[in-house]
Amino acid sequence: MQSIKIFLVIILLVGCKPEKIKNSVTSPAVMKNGMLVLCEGLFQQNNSTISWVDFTSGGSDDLFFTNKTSRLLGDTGNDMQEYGGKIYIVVNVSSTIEVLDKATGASIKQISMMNGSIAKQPRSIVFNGSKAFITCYDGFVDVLDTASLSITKRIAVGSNPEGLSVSNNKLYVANSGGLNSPNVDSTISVINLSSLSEMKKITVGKNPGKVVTDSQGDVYVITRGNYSTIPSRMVRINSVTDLVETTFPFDASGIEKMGDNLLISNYNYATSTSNIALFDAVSETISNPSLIDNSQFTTLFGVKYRPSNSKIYCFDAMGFSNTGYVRVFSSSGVYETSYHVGLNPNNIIFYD
Amino acid sequence: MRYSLLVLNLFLVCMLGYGQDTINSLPEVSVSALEINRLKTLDLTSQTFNREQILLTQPEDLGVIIQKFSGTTLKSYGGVGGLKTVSVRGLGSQHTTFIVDGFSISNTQTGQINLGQIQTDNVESITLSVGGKNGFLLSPSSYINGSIISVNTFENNFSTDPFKLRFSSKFGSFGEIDNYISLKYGKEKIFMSAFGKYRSANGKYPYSIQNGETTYNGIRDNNDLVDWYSGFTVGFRLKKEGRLRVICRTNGADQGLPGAIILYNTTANQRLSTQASVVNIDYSQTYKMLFYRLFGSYNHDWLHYTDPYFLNNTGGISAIYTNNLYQGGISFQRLLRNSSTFFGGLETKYSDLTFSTLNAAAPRRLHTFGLIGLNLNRETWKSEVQISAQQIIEENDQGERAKNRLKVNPFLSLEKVEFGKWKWIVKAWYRNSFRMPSFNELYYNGVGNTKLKPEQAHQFSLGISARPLEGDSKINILFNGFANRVENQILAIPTKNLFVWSMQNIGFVNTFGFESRMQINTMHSNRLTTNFTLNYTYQYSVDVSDSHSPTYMNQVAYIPKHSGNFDATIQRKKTGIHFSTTLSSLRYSLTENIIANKIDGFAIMDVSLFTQIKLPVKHALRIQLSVKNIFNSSYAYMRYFVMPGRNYLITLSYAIN
Repeated sequence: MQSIKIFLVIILLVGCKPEKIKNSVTSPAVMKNGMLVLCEGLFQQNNSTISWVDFTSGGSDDLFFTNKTSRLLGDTGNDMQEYGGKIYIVVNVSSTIEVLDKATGASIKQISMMNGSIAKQPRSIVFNGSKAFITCYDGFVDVLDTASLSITKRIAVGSNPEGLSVSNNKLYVANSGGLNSPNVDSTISVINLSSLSEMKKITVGKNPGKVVTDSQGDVYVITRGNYSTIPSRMVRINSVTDLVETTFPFDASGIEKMGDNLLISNYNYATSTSNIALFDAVSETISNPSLIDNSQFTTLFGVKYRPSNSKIYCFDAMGFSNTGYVRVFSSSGVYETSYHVGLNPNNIIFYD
Repeated sequence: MRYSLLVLNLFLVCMLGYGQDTINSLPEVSVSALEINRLKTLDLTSQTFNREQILLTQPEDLGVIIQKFSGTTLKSYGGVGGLKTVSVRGLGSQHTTFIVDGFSISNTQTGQINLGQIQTDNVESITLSVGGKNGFLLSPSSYINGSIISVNTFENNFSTDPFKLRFSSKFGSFGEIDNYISLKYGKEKIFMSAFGKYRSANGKYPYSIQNGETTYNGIRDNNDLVDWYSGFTVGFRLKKEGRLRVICRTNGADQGLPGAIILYNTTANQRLSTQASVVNIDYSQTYKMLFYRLFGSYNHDWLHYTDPYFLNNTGGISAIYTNNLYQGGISFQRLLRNSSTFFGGLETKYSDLTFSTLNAAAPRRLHTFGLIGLNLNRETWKSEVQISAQQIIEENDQGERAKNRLKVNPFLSLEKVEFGKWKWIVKAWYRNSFRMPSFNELYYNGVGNTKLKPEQAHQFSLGISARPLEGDSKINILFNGFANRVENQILAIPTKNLFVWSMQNIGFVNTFGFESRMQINTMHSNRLTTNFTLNYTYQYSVDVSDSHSPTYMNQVAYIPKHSGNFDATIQRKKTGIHFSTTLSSLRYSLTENIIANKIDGFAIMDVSLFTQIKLPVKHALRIQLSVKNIFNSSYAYMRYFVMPGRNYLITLSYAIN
């Protein structure tokens, strides 16, 4: 029997050819002059990863999380933010929050986001004071104490909440209702950050997703429509009156704050083209409709602005089923360089 | 945003549910001299397993047997009851036609058959054929696809034996209980048969997966299965060699869907219930040198999917799909001079689909096939020419419909036979075929795309087989090289954002490969027999859609470059041991050939001990103990759908012939 097993193993080895890894580096013990890129992977493949990109060499370590924690990140890493020297990674399908030390990348805690036997499916995270607020697809915003790293409260909101943002001591939560498609939600839940309860719901438009607060305290929301007959829109909410003041007449799929400006990315389904416009959030007008044009991307999946060097980092998902790139542009939209990362990059934490 | 979860889950489920078990029937109808002549040369383009080989393997279902044919690639999502599909020579599973007892089984919702729900207890033989008209008076549609898998069952063949019986009882790991009984009554003018089968399993098998540096050990949850099958058949021999059969069958299943193993979140609550009913009628007759067969059937499939914990406002999902298919036609074969034959037929299929979901499409399709062909048979060479035409008319009561299609496809083959100490056959053939997009691909809410074009396939093949005509051992050696090209390949890809997927005609795939097979069956002294079969398939199947893409010239997802199997049986008198080995090299879960997408290759061995107990003539009682995956390997066909480790099965089978 042993000889049969050896025979089988030999046949297998013949079939397994090792491959070259492009431009790989080793993640340092203490990170600096680089960036962590969250790559969400694809649904049901447990292939969410974090890439460490070293700015000096331009190389990357796509297995940063595994090299630091000796385990895999899980399925569909949807958000990654830093706060108080820690990194918080929201892993949607695995239903966990991973907390890492920002300096070393060492794991501090894995928080399981289960409600009994039902996965809460966390989506996005923001911070205020000693608390983190996490949208959960089961219709709640979970309140996490950033000292004890435990969930202290669940605040009921609308269905399938996505993005959220803080302004004027209030939390604005986008209720997408995406799992009720085509009968999606259209509201923003406003939560009082003192009482930690929902004050009101504001109707903004179908399928709200990303929420961003500008330098003036205005809250901007992307409503994604139905991807066909109802177009996507950007909506501005006055955080004093909590009323919708403007629905801008252009398509938008993402917003990123850049000083007093907003970078508005858009993917045009009809033409399969992307572009990034510059929006002046003080005058509330588009100041450059095509800061970065389509020729720079295969699949624009998001944008991140880095204040310390005033550069724009764009996520190119390469058709969503190939490993992606972070493409770097100056603040005036001139292409500078690209870094190869993992599958479907969607967020960055920078190290100076 | 996570609309996709719904869509993708449901889409997978719809692929999953709709394989019905429909065991219909090929007329053992006058296997004429010309067919016997033809059978002698079958070995180069077809491979067959008979009942004895199936008994030795004790497969959970037909999928496990089919992967033992060279040139095939199995996709399996689990053990007992799990979805299984097969692709042949790098073409998608929808390019294979499935025939049971002469009736084609098709499912217009998914375009493919779930082999996990087709049982093997009643299978007398199964044949995989490529390249030519293998089979007699089958429906025209079955001759014109990329490949044919044809099953011949116990219940539906004419018999004049007064009484025949098949019974089997199986007990296996993970709560598997499986009982099957079939009775057949025969007289000169009539035969009747009836059968029933019931199977259940809890499916709680242990598995291990690697999570970084640690190995996670878990137990597969929500993987239970209950299914049942029943049916009866009546056949009449009429005047002038006329034969009439009426076959009725129904089956159902209720099962948990364990899904992919998700790290840190092992909850699984989705369930699937399916029911299928079939009525088949055919009439075949010989008139001088003309053989013809009229056939008709009705298939009704019902599928109910539930996910009580889906996070929507209505408290989960409960979705029902109903698919009806009516088909009928005529197939004929006319014997000409010099054993040549002229053959052809006409067939039409009408199908519809009802989705229970809101604003869902209600598609209907009328698919008509016409075929003529000529087989020229000479002493040392043969040639076959086929031309087929297909018309597809599509309607949708709710929204856009797919375009109507009219297609003409050719087939050509040339075969040379040499006799000496060995018999040599060399055969070359070319086939052009296509597959229509399924209803799911065209209309499924959010995923479907009515603009899809049919997927085109070109197949070239050149093969050689050799068999000694003298000696104690029966040896059969075969080698087939092939070059295939798929155009307008239909794939689901994210189009609008990561969570909104859609079906697209995105690409071109080239496949170059070969299949090789060697069989040695030897009768030794002391009533000792040994049988060895070795299959090896090489498939270089690459994406050639776009030279600027990172996947250009990369091996297509889930197709291994190297695959094969090795089976050995050593038997003395009525007792023996059987080894069955399945091998696959690494595969990629996405077409970008990087380590992150790698799925390890595997080698699995099953070992069985069997004995047949001496009983009066015509009675056969057999006991078999099988140890499957004897080395307890952790392996997966599909990423994170880990297969069962070592498991056991005891089979008791009894037959009266």
